[in-house]
Amino acid sequence: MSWRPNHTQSVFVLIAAVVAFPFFGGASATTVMALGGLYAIVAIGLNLLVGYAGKISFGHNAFMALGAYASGILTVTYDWSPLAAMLAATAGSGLVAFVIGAPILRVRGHYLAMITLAFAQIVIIVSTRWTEVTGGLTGIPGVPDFSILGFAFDTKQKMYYLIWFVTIVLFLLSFRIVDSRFGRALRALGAHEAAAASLGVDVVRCRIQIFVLSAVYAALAGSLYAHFLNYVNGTFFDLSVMIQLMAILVVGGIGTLWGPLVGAVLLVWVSHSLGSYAEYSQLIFGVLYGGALLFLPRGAVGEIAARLKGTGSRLRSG
Amino acid sequence: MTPSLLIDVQGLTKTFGGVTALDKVDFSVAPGRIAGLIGPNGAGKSTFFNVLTGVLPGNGGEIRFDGKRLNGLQPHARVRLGMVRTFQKIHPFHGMTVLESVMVGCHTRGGAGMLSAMLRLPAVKAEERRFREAAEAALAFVGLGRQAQAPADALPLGHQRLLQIACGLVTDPRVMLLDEPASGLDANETARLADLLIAIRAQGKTLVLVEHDMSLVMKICDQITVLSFGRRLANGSPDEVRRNPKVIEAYLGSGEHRA
Ligand SMILES: Nc1ncnc2c1ncn2[C@@H]1O[C@H](COP(=O)(O)OP(=O)(O)OP(=O)(O)O)[C@@H](O)[C@H]1O
Ligand SMILES: [Mg+2]
Repeated sequence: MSWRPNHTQSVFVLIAAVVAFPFFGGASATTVMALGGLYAIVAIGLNLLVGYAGKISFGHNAFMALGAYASGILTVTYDWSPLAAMLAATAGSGLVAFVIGAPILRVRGHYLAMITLAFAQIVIIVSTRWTEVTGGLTGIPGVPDFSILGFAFDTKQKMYYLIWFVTIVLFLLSFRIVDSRFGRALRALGAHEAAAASLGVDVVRCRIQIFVLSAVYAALAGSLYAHFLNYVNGTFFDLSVMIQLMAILVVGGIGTLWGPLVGAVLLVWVSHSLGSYAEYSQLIFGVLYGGALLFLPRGAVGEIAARLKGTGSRLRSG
Repeated sequence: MTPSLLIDVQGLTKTFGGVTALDKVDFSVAPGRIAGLIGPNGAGKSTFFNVLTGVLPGNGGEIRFDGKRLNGLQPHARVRLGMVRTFQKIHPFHGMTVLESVMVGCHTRGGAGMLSAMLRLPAVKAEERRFREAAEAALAFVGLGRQAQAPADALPLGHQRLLQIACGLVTDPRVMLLDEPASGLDANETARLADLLIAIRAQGKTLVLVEHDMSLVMKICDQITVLSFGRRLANGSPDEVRRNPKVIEAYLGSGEHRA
């Protein structure tokens, strides 16, 4: 194949597709795609952590939960404006990530995966048991529509556009991040830690920063989720969400910038098409995950890039 | 401690479980010189670099760099002070181009962080431009100017060694510690490497060279330190070391003389 779209063309097509989708897809498909956008937001951040900095978190479902609950509680119980609640929710979750990450990321090894997994289980348990604050198993109904300066995102379609606006902004920012002093340091330490440190990269600091950023993205998605469904419930964010996020990264292409986007859209559609087979969804995600690892080790995007160019490095580096 | 020494190591010790890889090693080098560090396989040369640069913690001894005590400093902090090293085993940054890899070495020359990368303000763009120019100049200097856009892990070994040197050079070091830069190079490449190292020294930089290629070491080093089983066996000018019976024995004894 001799022609391949350049970055600007690809992004243009993406934006056109996102804008046009509700007109052709219909209401229920638009809702599915909005969900895809939410997952993409989390996956974009997680990919920077896992795919570029080489650290694994099993707790990003919990950061989504923190964002969602903080937004839900602040708007419903304390009557905050959605925007103020969202800012507080994301900042607070970033702070929690810092407190967890700062000591753990100092040590070499896969402690982050273990600690975040434990943290996530605690968050989910607390969210379903601490009834006075979180509503327990009932959750928090009546979360208001999101609004900015009096403009209310009061339909699913408006929320779809808001979510995808955020998704595309974060997607484009990820290109900037990867192609920067910070991003090069991140990729270098992901490839070989001692070699990066020996060129002056403060490995611990970079890792903490990207962990916090990825947690902030997850919390932002969680907050949007609460306003999208007008409802928060701990079961939305259980371990299966984390498994889906990992499947998104692996299927889309870990360490590629388009991977999280492509993976998220693919996965929400798989999930949606399962319909009445939903009880098997864990199994199916597991099979997808394993199948991708075996047959598409570079993920869909990595594989396509390799076919088009002979190596995956162009898309990986943005 | 004489201030005229750039690196002054006293009694450096490193053990791995029961193995004493470095046994109270003294080592020093004055600015602007090329110091050789030689010894049979397993003598502790790479370990010496690892402890000197902070990649591994030591078990004893003192490291002074331009009079400042380095013990306990993180590797990246030592780079900021002007000490950079290359690795015996190459570690290309997978997924990055040659140019990007060298730009990693520019890290300590700037300050743009994660948020400024996202905002990409004019100051950040200017910094990127400076980095790119410095990296391109370093690549041209080592002779990899044309490989700038190649994936870093696609370079042949000889070029990987040059790439490591370019990465080190852009950190603007006062001393470069080179761990077997000639291993895997053919005679032509080694000759060019010798010229390159002499050119780097001519820029006022100090070099410490770990090498098995004796003709290279004898040709360009001002002083040579010999390690054997973690101990300093000899230290002096190339001629002194060459004639030292203990050195001859260590090398013949282990059958390691590859000249
Ligand atoms: N990370 C490590 N863990 C355990 N033992 C180690 C480690 N690094 C080095 N050693 C041991 O320390 C001793 C010195 O090894 P080192 O790599 O420093 O030798 P060297 O002089 O660089 O040898 P070569 O010329 O083969 O590169 C060897 O016995 C080696 O097995
Ligand atoms: Mg060695």
